[in-house]
Amino acid sequence: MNIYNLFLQKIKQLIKTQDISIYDSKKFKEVSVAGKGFMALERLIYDDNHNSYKKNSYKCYLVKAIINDITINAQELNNDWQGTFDKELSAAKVNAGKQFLNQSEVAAAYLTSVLSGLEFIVRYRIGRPLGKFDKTRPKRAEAWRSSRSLRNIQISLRTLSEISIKLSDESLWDTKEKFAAAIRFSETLTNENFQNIDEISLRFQLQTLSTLVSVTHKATSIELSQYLGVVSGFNALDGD
Amino acid sequence: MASRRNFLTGIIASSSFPRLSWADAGNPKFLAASKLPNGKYVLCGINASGEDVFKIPLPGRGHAASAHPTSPEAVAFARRPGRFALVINCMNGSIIKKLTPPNNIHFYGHGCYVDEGRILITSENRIDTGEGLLGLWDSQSGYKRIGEVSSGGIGPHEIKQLPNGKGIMVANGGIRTHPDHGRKKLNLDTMRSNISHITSNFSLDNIFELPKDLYQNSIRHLDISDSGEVAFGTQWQGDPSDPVPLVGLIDLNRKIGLIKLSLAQQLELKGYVGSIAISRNSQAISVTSPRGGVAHIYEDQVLTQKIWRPDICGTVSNSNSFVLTCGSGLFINLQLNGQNIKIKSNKSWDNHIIAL
Repeated sequence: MNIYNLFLQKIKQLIKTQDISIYDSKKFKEVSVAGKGFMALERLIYDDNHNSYKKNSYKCYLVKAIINDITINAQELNNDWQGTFDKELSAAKVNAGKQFLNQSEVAAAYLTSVLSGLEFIVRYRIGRPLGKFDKTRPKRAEAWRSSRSLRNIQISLRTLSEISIKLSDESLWDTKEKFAAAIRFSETLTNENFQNIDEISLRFQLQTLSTLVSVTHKATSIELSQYLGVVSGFNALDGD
Repeated sequence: MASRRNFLTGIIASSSFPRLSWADAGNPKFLAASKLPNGKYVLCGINASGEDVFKIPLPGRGHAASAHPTSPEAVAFARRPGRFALVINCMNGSIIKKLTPPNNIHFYGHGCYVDEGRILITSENRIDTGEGLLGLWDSQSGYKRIGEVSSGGIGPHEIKQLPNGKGIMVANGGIRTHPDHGRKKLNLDTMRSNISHITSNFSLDNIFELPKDLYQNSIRHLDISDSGEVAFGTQWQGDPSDPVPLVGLIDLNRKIGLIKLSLAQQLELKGYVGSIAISRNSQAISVTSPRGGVAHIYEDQVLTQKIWRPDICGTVSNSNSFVLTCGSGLFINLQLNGQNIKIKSNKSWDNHIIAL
């Protein structure tokens, strides 16, 4: 089953059973990931079939529970980054109990994060709604209900560009140039939620953006990989 | 009538000289291809502690290897679509034979010895029709090609031998490719993957398929326990957001089933299983996802351990536990109690590791 339907199914299930775990943040943590996060939240705020509910109704508390859960996760992530993770990254050495065994594993983790971020844009954020030429899938665009499809791509590109530059000594000329070109082009697009993807002009624009991001991926995987002295995805080629 | 010379040669070949064994090649316990820091590719013989017993240069990137069950000979396969495989003498690194399939056929990256090492089977593609083939090579006559049979599907990848001479199981990935288009998939809308059972006389006995709605689940890797249970891993070719099951079993009653996971567990495999191994006693299964950077260990079909490591891919059963290898150079001797032993090397381990 498609993951987006799974989100809907889980929300419906929570509502139908009036699951009381939404009233307790610790219990709500145990609820399947399908019932929370931004995708579930978007349904309950922007989907006309699911966003009419009264204050203090079950759905209203469900929205609060999801928001609260996202907040807690964000805080935990932030604490981990600045606390334990930061220490582990800087002190990485051969130690079987640790997340990273040495500095090159840390570098590889950073490189992989940047590259998978770019892959995600091409494969999911653009590739899914693009579908095929004779069968576009606008409803597969990420966050189309809240008109964030394009915005999420732009934010992601800017963040990944910043991480890549900070990971290096700013010497990744090709990478910087390719990121800048992709970001510049994305800023010229006006369709925010990709719902007119059937129009040849929008389709062409999104394909161009996809190409620019792929080119950025290639430049980053060469330059940043060389700079950090590590490789990413040696074993992840399709079909091996 | 046999000439005197032939007669003598026969005597020498059959009895006078002691047969060479893997002990003569340093007694490796595992074989795996890897890339060295200098960019060169090698086939490594590895001992139980993860150290190299031998390193043999390869002309290009390897994918998987097959080891002769008794003689110190291994076949190194190029990545698909490959036009050659090398039979290597693991005592001195010399090439015994370069295997080249007939025109219009190419290799698909895996192989398997059967009949006590007498016959090598290779997974292959007939280019013009896309028919999956198994190439048969006679190891006792200098790896002469003795024919080919249907693999029972399209895009055969990994092949493993069943116990007690019951033949082999073949993972037919279902995806058609053509060397002119590199690794491009030509039939994703109509693909159908299966596992075929081929008997010891190379006839198709049975085909195991997944439910129809999973038709884009490409079964690419499998492993077989001592009793004959088959574990398999898939690569999902459908919508990347679909959380579909990627690991399954064919039990001794020959029923095919899939292991159920929670949504989060399913998603962390990123739709891609790189290798799979089942313990000899059938109790545990090891599954790697290099894309997710994670390995799952299932005991009695329940997820009991996760190993998060970048580019983790190779896995092989090591008695009742497992060994895992990573593109980052890590060799992990897994213990089911969680006390894993990790050995770091400066090479990149390739997709697969096999046991001797």
